[in-house]
Amino acid sequence: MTLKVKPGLKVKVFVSFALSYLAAVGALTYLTIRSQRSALLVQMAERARVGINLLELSVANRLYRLDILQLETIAREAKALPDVDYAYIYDVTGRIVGDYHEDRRRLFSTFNDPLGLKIIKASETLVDIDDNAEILDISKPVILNREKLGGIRLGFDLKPIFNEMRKLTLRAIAISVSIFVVGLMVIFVITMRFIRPIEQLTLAAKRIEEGDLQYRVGIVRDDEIGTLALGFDQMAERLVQRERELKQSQDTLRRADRLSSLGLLTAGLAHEIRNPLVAIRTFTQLLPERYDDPEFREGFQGLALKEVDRICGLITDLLTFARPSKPNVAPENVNDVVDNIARILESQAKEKGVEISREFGADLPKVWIDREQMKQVFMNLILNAIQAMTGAGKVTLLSRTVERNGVQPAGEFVQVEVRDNGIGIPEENLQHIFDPFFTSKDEGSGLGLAVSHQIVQEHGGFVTVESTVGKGTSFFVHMPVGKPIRPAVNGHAQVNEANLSH
Amino acid sequence: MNITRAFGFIALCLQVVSAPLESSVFAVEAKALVFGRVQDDPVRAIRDRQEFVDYLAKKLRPLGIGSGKIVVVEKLHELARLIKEGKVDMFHDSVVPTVVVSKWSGAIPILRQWKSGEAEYDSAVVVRKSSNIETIADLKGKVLAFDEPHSTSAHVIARMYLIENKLKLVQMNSTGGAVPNATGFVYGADGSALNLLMMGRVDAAVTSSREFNELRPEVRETLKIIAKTVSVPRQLIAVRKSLDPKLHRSLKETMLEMDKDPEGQQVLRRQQKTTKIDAIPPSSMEQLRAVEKFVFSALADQVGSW
Repeated sequence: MTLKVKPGLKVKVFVSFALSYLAAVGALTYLTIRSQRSALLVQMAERARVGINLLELSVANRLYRLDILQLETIAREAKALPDVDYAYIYDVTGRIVGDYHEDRRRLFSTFNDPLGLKIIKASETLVDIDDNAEILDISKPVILNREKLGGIRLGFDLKPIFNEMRKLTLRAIAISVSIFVVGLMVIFVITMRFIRPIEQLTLAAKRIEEGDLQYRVGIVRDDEIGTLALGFDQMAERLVQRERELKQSQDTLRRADRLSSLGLLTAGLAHEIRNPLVAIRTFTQLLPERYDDPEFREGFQGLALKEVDRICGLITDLLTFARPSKPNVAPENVNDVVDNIARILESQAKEKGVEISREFGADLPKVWIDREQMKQVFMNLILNAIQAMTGAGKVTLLSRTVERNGVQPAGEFVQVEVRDNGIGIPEENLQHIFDPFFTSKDEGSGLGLAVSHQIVQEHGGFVTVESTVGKGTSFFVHMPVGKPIRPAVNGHAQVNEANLSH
Repeated sequence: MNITRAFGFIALCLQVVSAPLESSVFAVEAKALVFGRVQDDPVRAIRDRQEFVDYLAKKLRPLGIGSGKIVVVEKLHELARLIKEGKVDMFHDSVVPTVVVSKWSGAIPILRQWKSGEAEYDSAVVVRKSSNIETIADLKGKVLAFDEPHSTSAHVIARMYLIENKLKLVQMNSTGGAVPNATGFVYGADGSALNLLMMGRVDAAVTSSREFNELRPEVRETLKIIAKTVSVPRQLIAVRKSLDPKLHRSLKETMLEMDKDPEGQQVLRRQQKTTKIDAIPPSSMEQLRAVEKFVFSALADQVGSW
């Protein structure tokens, strides 16, 4: 397994600056050395030009008369000049007539030297630098008016200059390395100075993304970074304000949703309450006549208590649902929550001829939820399921544990499925069902699913839906096992589009 | 065949026939006008004269001269040989070299050149102002310095003059000592006779009056002239005897006209500050004959090495 370390901005900036600086220092050093070399060689070439011109003045008369002994003397004297390695004098045919090159004497050669011919054919001074031999070769034809008298050639020893250049190169490299090291330190300090506030900003952004809206950068600087940090902190401040406003809006929406749900419950509850009251009334009417019947009295007492308790239970459930409660996240058994809501809605379901059945998984792990908020979720989903039936039907409540790997959010979830065999949801509506105020019903507020989705999201869970038009719909509420840390990815409930069908 | 076609055919035939004739028979082969010069420094000799020779060559182009060339030699006899061999067409020099080379080669002095703006010049016998030498006669028992043996003004003309004035001259190997009842003399290099005088190594020196006048005033103040020779032409121009007469004539005319031509004036000025070239006066011709006679008699022992 390869460990891949991602370099941070600090490293990137430092390395970029260091490389650029290295390139600049390197280029500067190279150019300095090159220019030094050029300057020295130009200087040498100029010296060589002066030398060859003086030699030309000396040899022109001798070449005119082809005074070979004098030419030989001149060549020897030229060789004796400082740094001159060799000296040749050619006649007009390219034959060497004056030669001095160490002990190798080719004077009075009978052959025409090819180089001599080349020099004589030339119209100007030829300069050639042989880096390997470390020789500057300079030559020129000797021309008297239009007549070519011959040619001359001098070799200047460049070893002293090359040695000097090597010393200069080493010195330049040493200086450049020193400058580079000092520059690196300066770059490091500058990088730290500029990157540290960016790191602080990055950390602040991360903390705020994680939900710590109270975190502030707190950089006070009189430059662009200071302005940026101040802007960031002000933005965070506004974010806190917006969050507060959003929360208030959400609370308003949830209250509206609860009231909406309560309205729908009212009819069913009235029926539930009226039946026991009718039974109690009937018994109460018969009580004077049959007061002495101990069996009747006991029966009446038992029935009345039972029915009153039932009414009290319903009212308690209703009040619990309707009353705004403070957030209270605790480990809960989801089956209990779902069953509690199912019981409230059962009478309403019956009225519509809808059967609510339960297929709860056994031994489900507890999940960290706000019981009251999750009751609102299941209230919305089950009510929607009941309303999805045009006639008699069946709402099945299922619960199970699911494991998600390779997809986000991953991990172990308790999944509650609210399945109906109603009319189903058309595909064009499916993408919008979690949007606030979106409804396909005449009497709906369009808040139920949006609020439910938001509540589940705040619990670190998510909601998906599968639906087939004409066959029914299943909503899946996923709640993470363990204490939730943060909302689901992207802040949106996930719709399992792969499973969408008509 | 109509008349037009007939004329066309004839014209074509003439063209075909005349084309080779034009290139082989009537075409004049371009030749070089070769100028000879005796000088130790060929580079200077050529650079000083090339423009002059080029000018002449350009003017003589109608006579088949394509270019001008200068040949520089070290000795007078070398120049004379080249002239005799027809390899040099003309030369110029002062009176003595001209006379000597002409004698040997048969060259003919044809014109006088006003070198440095002078038609003629003379020689002067110079002594130190502090000396008690006042006349030529006072040179007896003294030592005199000439320049080069073939120098006109600094040797030959003065020597002729001194001999005419009954002075006996005896060559010395060095400047030390004196010759009783005669005047000892030494040769110096070009222009060195005056130096020998100023250094006190000789009692008198021979130079041209012009050179004397060109000395720095503070130097000139220390010297005095005790005698002057007759004037001779400053410079002469001679041509090869076998030169084509047409070319000879045109060459002479061209040089005579040079000072009237603005370009010619410029060329002359750059050629040793010459102001004009003119004919040699008859009196000068007499002088030339005298000089020739003197050189080949009095200096016969040394002229062969010139």
